[in-house]
Amino acid sequence: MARDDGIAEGGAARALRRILLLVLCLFLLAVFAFWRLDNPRVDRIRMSVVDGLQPVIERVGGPLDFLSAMVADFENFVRVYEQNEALRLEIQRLRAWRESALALEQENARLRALNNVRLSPSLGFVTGEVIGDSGGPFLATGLINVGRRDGVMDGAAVMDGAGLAGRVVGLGRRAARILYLTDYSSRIPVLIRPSGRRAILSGDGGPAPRLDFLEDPDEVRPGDRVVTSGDGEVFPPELSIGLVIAGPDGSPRTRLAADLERLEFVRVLRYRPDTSIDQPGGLIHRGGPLDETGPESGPDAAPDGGGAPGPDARPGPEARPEARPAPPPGAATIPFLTPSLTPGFSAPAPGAGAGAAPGTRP
Amino acid sequence: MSGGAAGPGAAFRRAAEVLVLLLGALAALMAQLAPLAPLPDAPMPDLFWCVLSFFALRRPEATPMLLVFALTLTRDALLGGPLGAGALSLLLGTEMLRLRARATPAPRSLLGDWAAAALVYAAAVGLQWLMMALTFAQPPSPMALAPHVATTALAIPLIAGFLRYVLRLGASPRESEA
Repeated sequence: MARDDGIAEGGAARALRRILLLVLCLFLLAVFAFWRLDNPRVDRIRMSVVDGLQPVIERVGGPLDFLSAMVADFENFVRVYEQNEALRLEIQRLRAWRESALALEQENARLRALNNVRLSPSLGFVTGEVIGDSGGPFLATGLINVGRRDGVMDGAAVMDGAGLAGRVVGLGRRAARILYLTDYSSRIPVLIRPSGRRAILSGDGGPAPRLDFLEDPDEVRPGDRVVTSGDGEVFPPELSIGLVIAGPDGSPRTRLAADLERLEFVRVLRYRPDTSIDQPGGLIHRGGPLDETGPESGPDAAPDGGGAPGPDARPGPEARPEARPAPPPGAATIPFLTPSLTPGFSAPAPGAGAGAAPGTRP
Repeated sequence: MSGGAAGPGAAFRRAAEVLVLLLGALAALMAQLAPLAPLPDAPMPDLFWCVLSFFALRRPEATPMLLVFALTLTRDALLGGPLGAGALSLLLGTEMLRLRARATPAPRSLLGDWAAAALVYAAAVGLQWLMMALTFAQPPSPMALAPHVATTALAIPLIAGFLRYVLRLGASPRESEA
């Protein structure tokens, strides 16, 4: 028997329908379990779907963007006098800041030259357009129209003009998914300036993420700058994130510099740490007393006296004792010196001459 | 009228309605994806659910389970939410609405359908939250979900009105009775 709405009501049909529903539910449960257990692999599959639909998303998103811009323009028009006044005040304030910034820039350049600082050649970026956001309550994510083919890497930092906005958590060929700093699962190691205290920036769905595990909260005041610490080598250090504010309950939070409500274009940083120091240097002998030939002649000896050679290390001229240049003072005795303390800066290369010019940002 | 006596005209009409569901659901997904408000203080209603609930209540025969399954899984992949959990909860929600459509006699109140769609959506969101919490996946606080559910509940009659009176889909039960 069938009803006039076309839904079969026969016993066999109903049983088949229930079995199908059960099978589909079990399959979806398995997909969910797989997502929880092997998130990167599932995200790759998910991004392949996004890749396939990316042209459609962009085409549909265009008119919607236009409508959204129209609404924003209308709002701006209504508040034009108020905004004009605010902008005049801000220009006055920024002129003073500009003078300070120019002076600091000159001083910075002088100090770099004095210290023979070499700028990291590995910090570049690619600019992409935000073509979508999650639209759901469970995740604060966005889609951008640059992906693997543009050199975007998984985990890369994403910034707008003012500060860090999030990081890449899904990577397709032509698109990538950004996890915003406000998302519930976002955790970023940060430094508070000027006190130098460390904390973890934890998203909680609100516009101002929490500062968890803060060292010496008494040393931190509203208005202090929050920057990336670079711990874990996922993000470059010293990327601007925002300012410390006091939350409604008095707990420290961060007012983000990035305007997540109006993200249109973002920069995805292509950052590779210059050097990863994950092994003791040649001066530290592992296991047993030193042999007569010294640590540098052993199988683990590195050509530069630093860490062990990588898989592609070849014996170069510097490995021969007669060709080895004199190490700079302190280079061999401080094997754990962090090479990159500020964005785009790293410690002088061993053997660099005193007159070497600073590198340039790509 | 029995299903068997429907004829090719009815079959063609049903296929057209299935196609409209497919396109409508995809359009709703694209609209949800538009980068308008990533922050939860300006929540985006779940337009996808608005379209799906309308079809499940008013055109259950044009809402095949396998199509709902494929659409909800695509939704999870595109929106970036908990993959599988969203699809599972919306699939079960659609089936609950279909049960209501079958069990309740034809002249159903619009308010009742609206309330059913909103309550089932709230239950679906609650199920997703529970699945995430049970698997330690850091779900948002329930208070953060409430505005999203509320805006979706408010959007349901708007989308239903658009589908019914602009696209001329799914005559209300009272009209079909007349």
